[in-house]
Amino acid sequence: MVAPLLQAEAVTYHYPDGRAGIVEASVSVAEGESLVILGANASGKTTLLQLLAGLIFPARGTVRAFDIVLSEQSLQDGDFARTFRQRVGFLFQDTDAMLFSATVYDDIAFGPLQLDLTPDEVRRRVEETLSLLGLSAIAQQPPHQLSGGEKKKVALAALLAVSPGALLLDEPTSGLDPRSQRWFVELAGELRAMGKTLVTATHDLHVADEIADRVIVLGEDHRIAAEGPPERLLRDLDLLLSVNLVHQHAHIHDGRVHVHPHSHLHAHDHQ
Amino acid sequence: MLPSWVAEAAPARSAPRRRSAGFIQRTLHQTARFAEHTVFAERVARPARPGLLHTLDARIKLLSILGLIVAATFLHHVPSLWVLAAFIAAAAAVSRIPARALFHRFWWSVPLVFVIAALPAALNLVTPGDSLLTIYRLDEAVRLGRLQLPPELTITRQGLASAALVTTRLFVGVLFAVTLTLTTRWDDLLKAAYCRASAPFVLILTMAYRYLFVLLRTVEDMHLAKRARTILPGTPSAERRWIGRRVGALFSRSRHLTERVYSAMLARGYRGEPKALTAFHLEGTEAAWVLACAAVASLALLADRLLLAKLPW
Ligand SMILES: Nc1ncnc2c1ncn2[C@@H]1O[C@H](COP(=O)(O)OP(=O)(O)OP(=O)(O)O)[C@@H](O)[C@H]1O
Ligand SMILES: [Mg+2]
Repeated sequence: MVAPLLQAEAVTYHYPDGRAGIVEASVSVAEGESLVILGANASGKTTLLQLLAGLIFPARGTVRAFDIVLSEQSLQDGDFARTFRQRVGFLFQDTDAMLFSATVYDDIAFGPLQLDLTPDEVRRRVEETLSLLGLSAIAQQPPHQLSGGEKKKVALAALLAVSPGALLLDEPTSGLDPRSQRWFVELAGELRAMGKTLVTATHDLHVADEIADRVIVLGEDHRIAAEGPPERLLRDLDLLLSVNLVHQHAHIHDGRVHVHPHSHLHAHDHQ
Repeated sequence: MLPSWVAEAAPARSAPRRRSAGFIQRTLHQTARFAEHTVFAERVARPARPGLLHTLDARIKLLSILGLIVAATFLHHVPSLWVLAAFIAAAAAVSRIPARALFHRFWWSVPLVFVIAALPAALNLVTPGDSLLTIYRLDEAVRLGRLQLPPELTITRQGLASAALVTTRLFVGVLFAVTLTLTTRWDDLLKAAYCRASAPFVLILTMAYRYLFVLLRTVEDMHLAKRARTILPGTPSAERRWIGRRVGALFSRSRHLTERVYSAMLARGYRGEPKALTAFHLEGTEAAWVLACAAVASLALLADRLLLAKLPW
């Protein structure tokens, strides 16, 4: 049996101020699958992803990548750190943290440069990524002058330029307009087709439904409330209600949980 | 249920009186402008048609300019310092750096340094010598409390000369530094300055630069958010109190932000060593530049020792 790509065993993490981030969560991510971590605000999605990315380390439990325990010590080792960082990419929820260079171009080049590629290869990669995501026009702009959605795309470009086998995406669709959300869903599909592993944290049920092979639902107690195929979990109204992902007025049609803002201002009907 | 006051419309108000933008707002605005300038510097450092100084290898440029700054500290006469200044100004002109970009950042600091730091050295108390200008002379001892006033206060020729020297040296040094930063991309500069010994220092600089923008943005956003929620403009003292409290919040935010920026760098494979896209290269231009620098520095030193030593200053 092949060892899972990433594996968290009963991890618990508390922030320095004592608040719980995640409690006794066990997750394993197999090569090539698309896992979605669903949860309401503050349920611990970001915390769990950062643990899997080796950016923070659990107080209890262990996280393994390619069967090696992730710890501050193991990531001190230059070789392991390098392979790990190249194979596992992370999209930050807060894109401002990811975009710290003078121009969009430099930001995308930052990752490939750390891989010790030749300058020409780095340039080629950056330019290909720019045109893939349709960002060529803003390549020389400073990232802090972009709109929220553009920043998201640039951050995603910065991640793709490293070409990691596994992508940990924290709220990739927040702040995107409907067309860009669609675009993201299609991009996720293409990445999957290329054999990439995706772990996506979101509270968007529609996105989860479209890209997930498997879903993990986090409860508001920062524990895993359920795990399973999207067909089952995303139709389980009681489960989704109990973790506050949907409200009383959500309902199921076309075999899926359907959520829309419930208001009496505009009526709509369901065929 | 929303409380009923949410539904109450705000009463219409007469047009607001125009108020001049407050000090706080102006300051924030200037801070943002400063950030723009930093970006602007990045743009100058990477023009469409790079000039001589832009294309020089960053390491060579860093070392040669440091060398020239060291040479400047050995010069004891203003005219020989001008030789160095003229050299770098010429190199900047050849590289098509607009003079405005070169000088507008720091011209104001020169008279300031002259008056505050250098001029006191011109007094006879610090540098005795031939009096040029007498500020006062007392025939009998005067005491101010415990303080015994010196009987005579004058500006001396020797003192003035040394004040001028200190100011000029500073001017030349800053001119060199500005030329360097205006023609070298920040990434390249850090990469050039990086070695095992300087690694922690370079890391700190990288971080500081990386999140400067975001930090400034945060301050501006905070103020905007506050203004959006404020109905009447606050009194200046209230604004000051607000800023005071924000500074505290900003400290904690900036700490979190550094942590996040750093982990974002780690996540993309950063291992403490700056990398830049421009490769180091040593060619004819570099050799010619180093020779030119050495020649100018020797010329200035020689002139300083031999010729100018004979002049009255
Ligand atoms: N830096 C921090 N310091 C202290 N507590 C934190 C910090 N970051 C998160 N927390 C707390 O940890 C818990 C989990 O947060 P986390 O960011 O993982 O949630 P999330 O599911 O990603 O939420 P969201 O959907 O809002 O992004 C929350 O209760 C939060 O308040
Ligand atoms: Mg989050």
